[in-house]
Amino acid sequence: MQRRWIAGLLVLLALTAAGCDQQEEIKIGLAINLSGRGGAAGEHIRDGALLAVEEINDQGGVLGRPLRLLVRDDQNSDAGIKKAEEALLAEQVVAVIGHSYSSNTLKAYPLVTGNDTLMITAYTATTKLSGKDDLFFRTAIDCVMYGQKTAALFRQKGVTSVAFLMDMSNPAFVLDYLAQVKKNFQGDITTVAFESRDKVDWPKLSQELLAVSPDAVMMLTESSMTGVAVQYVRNQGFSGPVIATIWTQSPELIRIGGPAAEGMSLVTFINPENRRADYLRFADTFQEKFQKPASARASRAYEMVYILAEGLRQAEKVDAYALKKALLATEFESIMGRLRFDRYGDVVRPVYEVLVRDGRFVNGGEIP
Amino acid sequence: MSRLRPLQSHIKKILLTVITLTFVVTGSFVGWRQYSVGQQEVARVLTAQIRIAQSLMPSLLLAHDRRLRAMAGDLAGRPDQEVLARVKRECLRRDPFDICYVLNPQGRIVYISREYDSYQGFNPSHMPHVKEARQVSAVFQSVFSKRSVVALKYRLNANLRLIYERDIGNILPALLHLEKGEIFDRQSLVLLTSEGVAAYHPDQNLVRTRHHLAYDMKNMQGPNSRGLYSYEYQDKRYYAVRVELQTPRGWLLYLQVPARPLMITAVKEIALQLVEMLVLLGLLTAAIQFILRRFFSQPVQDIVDALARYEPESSYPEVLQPRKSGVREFARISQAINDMARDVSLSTERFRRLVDSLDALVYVADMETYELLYINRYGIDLFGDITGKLCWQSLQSGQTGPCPFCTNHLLIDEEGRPQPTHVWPFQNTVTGEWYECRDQAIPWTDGRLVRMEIALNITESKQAQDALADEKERLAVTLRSIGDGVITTDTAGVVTMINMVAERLTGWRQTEAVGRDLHEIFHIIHAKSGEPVENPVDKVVATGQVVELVNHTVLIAKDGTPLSIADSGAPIRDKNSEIVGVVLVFRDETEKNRLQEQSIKAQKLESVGVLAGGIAHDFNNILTAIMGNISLALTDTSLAADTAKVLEDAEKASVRARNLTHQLLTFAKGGEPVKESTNIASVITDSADFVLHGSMVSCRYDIPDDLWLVEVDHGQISQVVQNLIINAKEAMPDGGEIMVSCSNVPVGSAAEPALKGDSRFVRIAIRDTGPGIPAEMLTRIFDPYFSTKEEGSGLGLAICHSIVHKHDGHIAVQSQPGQGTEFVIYLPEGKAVQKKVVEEEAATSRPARVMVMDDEEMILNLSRQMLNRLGHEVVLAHGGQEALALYQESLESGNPVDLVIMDLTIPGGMGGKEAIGELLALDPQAKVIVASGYSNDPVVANFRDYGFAAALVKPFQLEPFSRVVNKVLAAGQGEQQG
Repeated sequence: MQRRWIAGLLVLLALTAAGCDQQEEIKIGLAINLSGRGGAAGEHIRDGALLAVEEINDQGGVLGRPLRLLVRDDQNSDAGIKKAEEALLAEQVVAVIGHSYSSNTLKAYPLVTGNDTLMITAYTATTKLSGKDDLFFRTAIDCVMYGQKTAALFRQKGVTSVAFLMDMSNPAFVLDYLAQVKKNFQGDITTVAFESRDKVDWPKLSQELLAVSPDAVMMLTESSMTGVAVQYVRNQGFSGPVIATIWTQSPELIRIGGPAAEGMSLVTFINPENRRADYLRFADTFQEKFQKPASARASRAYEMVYILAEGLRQAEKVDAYALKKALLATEFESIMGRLRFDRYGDVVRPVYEVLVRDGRFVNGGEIP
Repeated sequence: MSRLRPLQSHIKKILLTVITLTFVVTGSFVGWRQYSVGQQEVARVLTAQIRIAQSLMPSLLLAHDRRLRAMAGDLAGRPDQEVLARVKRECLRRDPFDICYVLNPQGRIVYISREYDSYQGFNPSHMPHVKEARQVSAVFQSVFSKRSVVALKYRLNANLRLIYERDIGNILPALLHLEKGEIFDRQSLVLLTSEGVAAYHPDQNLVRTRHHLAYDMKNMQGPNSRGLYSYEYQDKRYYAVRVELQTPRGWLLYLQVPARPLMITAVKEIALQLVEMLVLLGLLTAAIQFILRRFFSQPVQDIVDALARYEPESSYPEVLQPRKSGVREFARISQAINDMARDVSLSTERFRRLVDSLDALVYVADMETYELLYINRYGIDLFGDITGKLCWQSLQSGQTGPCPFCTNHLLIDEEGRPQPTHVWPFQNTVTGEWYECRDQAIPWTDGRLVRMEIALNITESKQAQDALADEKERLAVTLRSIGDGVITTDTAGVVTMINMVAERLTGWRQTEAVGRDLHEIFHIIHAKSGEPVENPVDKVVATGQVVELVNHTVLIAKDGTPLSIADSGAPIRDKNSEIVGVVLVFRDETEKNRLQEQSIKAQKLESVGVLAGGIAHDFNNILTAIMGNISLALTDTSLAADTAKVLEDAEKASVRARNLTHQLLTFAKGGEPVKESTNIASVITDSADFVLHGSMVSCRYDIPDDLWLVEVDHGQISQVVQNLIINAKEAMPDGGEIMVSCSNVPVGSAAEPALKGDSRFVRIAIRDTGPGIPAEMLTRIFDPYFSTKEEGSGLGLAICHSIVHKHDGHIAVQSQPGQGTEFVIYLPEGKAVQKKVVEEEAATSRPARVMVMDDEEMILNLSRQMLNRLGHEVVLAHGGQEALALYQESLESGNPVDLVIMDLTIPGGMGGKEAIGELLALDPQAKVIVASGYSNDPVVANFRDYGFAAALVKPFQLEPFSRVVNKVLAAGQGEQQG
């Protein structure tokens, strides 16, 4: 009788232990600006990534292991970047998604890849990370392509002179972009630089920008700053083309810029009128979960997480180098179309002119 | 049956179970109750706390709202400058990070807190926090401060609006202070906007980054009956109370507590109470167990022990001491048991004496385990006391398991109900004795069904029955094995037995025949009249005597086959000599009768042969005289042509008469053919034409000119051809055509396997256009006495077959019904005919002294005339003795006889066959020709073997006679001629 009790107890303990035996999580990090200047745009990135992780885990995770997304705010500052990355590396994440600005990415790059951790971003266009056989991947195109396409757009619009407004809080992107445009555009280019993290005298800045009466204004600024800037430019009576970059492709532009943003052009690889079934499903889910529309940033984050998950499934083991090998060997079908990395972890995608029309983004066609 | 355990053990177990169940149920209830009370306490405390927070929240979030609202009320209708001045003053009293700005009618900022004055002119009027109607906006990142804020809106006058961006970080200090008064470990407040964004959370990063916290709160449940919500956040479960703020509307305030510390606390309290309860229950159990043992289980144990010691065999046993337990009820039970024990003892003794007195084996065994439960004295005397052992091991020998002849399955039906008593004889494998066993399934004293067998020894009666049965079997086997058919019937003629021979003869099997009337299976008729023969059974029953069947009785078998039988019937009598049946004994006489008929036919033929032989001998002598004299007469050249013609006709008729005689002899005696090389063509045509003369059947011949000669007996082969032609003619009574074809068959070309070798043959085919012969008869047509004709002797084709084979030839038949019949004969090629002719022609006639010996005077005269005509001197002798005497006399006289012609047989005297020996003894050089009418006599056929120089077949004519005589005289050796 006593033996029977003991056996029953052992069975109960074994069952309890089995119930507690969960598969080890695979950790990936997300380091973006959430609270610094332009942090509102980072919310879209975070929410897109969170949704992707939840869906993947609901489908059984990766190789039977759940994904865990660790979100860290880089506060759009050097200290914040360092703190966020160190926290993620301490958690032994296999990959870090980040950052939302090229400059921030460049700052984090040595820290992350130097610790045998893979880094991937959709928000970094600087050419300083192009053509390197390293642990850095991106689903965004680089400034070389942007430079060519922006110059082509200028020509297409008959622009001969352009005034560049440059937010030097992200110099890696801004200067690189400018240099690549200059390589491809023969017209007059004037530049006005500012630091968005400092106090900005917007009336004065806009006057300086339009002082040379340019045919067009090119804004190398993030979305909220672009929203403010475009108001002041229009307040100055400028009616010419105002062109911005993918950095601006966020609802914040429209929320802040309001009517002044109407008619703006954006040079971007994100098609705002994506009609793919999987994208529409994603957009519906996103709206339901977060009570706001899916943005370009959210969809890029969502795409990145799925790419990482598929790479991990194909990898021989869960580490940065196996993941790199798998990412390079795999062709991905994402909500934004087919994608394959080149040997340096970069991609080539079509570039569109996206217009702000009636308070929303519409596709103005691929820039030839 | 499950294992039985002592009462005390049962009581202990039941008590333990009840206590355990009581403990578990009570413990569970206490645990649940404690947990419920704990949760209720948590809910109560948290609710009280959250009410405080809820009441504080509007004043924290909307700290300056009342003041600004009052200001806006004061400024209504005031000029813009005054309004702006007042706003600037009031805004100086704002909290850190809060921002004031005033919008003009175009929505542009005309005043903004000093730190952000570079945004003068900026138009935020399209932004949601300005455009929306609600008083308090959603949390958003301020364009100016970049911090998380909510916006409050105030209409100042007709032109100006005040927007107050309230930094939600400003509510932090008050809430942190509130949280310091925590009652539960790690309790915390969470404030979510109506969109689910964190407006307050202990993790300030979530607030700073406007984290959508509602998204992270998984598996939200509640509220439960105590008003508690539960959810998981970052893999930890929380309990919380929740209130919705009136201002801002839709905002939710949670006061949450981690579930784990609460659970630990509750478990500790429950465990303590359970330990106390366990101790109490233990004490209670011990007390109850003591009382039960003292006043219940121990007395019961005493009764049990006493009953265990109880000996049923003892007379009037005293089982228990009634007063030992000290309990009155147990004393009464003891007394009652004692009384019952005495009754049982008496009943058992009565039963035992009754069953032990039986002169039969009685035993009882379990039907499943085969354990012997009881065996009576009779059984014990036979097998010993085998109670408790297995029946198949103890009552039988040589069994390795339950006996294959066990009747257990017959004693109960499929539903386990007892069946009527099964009675069966059985020879016990231990004693070898026979028993009549009466097996029955009966309910045993414990309620189970058991097997009871009462076995009565029947060995003696069994042996008597077996002897009787053996005797019956022996008789039956004898009857069935007997060589004659045996049928037994009762007096009514119903068949009771039929043996194997009778089965074969009647065609009825015993199983079919028994029970039928004798008339059905034993149908007998008279062979000649076809009338039914009187039933022998009736006759035997009527006479009471053995009766024989009349001759020529035929039994008609079941399939209609008639069988000649001989039969006798005899009565079967019982011990009182009363006739109880009839036995018929009969045998098949068909074959015997057939052989008898054949024998009679053969005897007849033999008689005819002897008669024919006798006639032929005399006839030959007569013919010899006729033919000889005619041939002599024809040598007379002076005869008129007409006379000569008449004589020639007479000679031809004589020749035919001679041939007929020859045939008669052949038919009568058979015998060896006297062969000579012959052109068979004339034999065939003469024979066929002779037979067919005057009939409606024509004959065509296909005989090549170069057909080889054959070595045959002319007469015998002629007989063969005639028989075949006669058969063909008779097969075509309405006329038809016979085709006779001949051909040469070189060496090795004969179609018949029997003719392979180095001989050459002449093939003769005789084909008719008759109806043909059925296949089943083809193999029998050469059998003696086989005939399809009413009057046929059955010897014709048999003689043909015999003759051809004596010629070293072969005869075969081919026939298809409706396509005629073809007989094919192969005869060996003849030899050296041309040489003989030359020699014959070369033989010259010289005067000689010739002795002729014959008992017929006319033969002697003819021979003398013919020899004289040939120029020879003739000495006549009438018998063998005389011939020997004359020959010796001639030798002694010096005028020896040159040639002696002796008749083969001399009736009543010495013939040539006997005389040749003595003659040659007188003169080894003597030349003797044997003459005989029996051409097929072995002596004539093989004359040299007997010492003759040649043979003459009577009747003979002058020409062949002279040829033979001249040849013998001319040469040292002679040739046979006829």
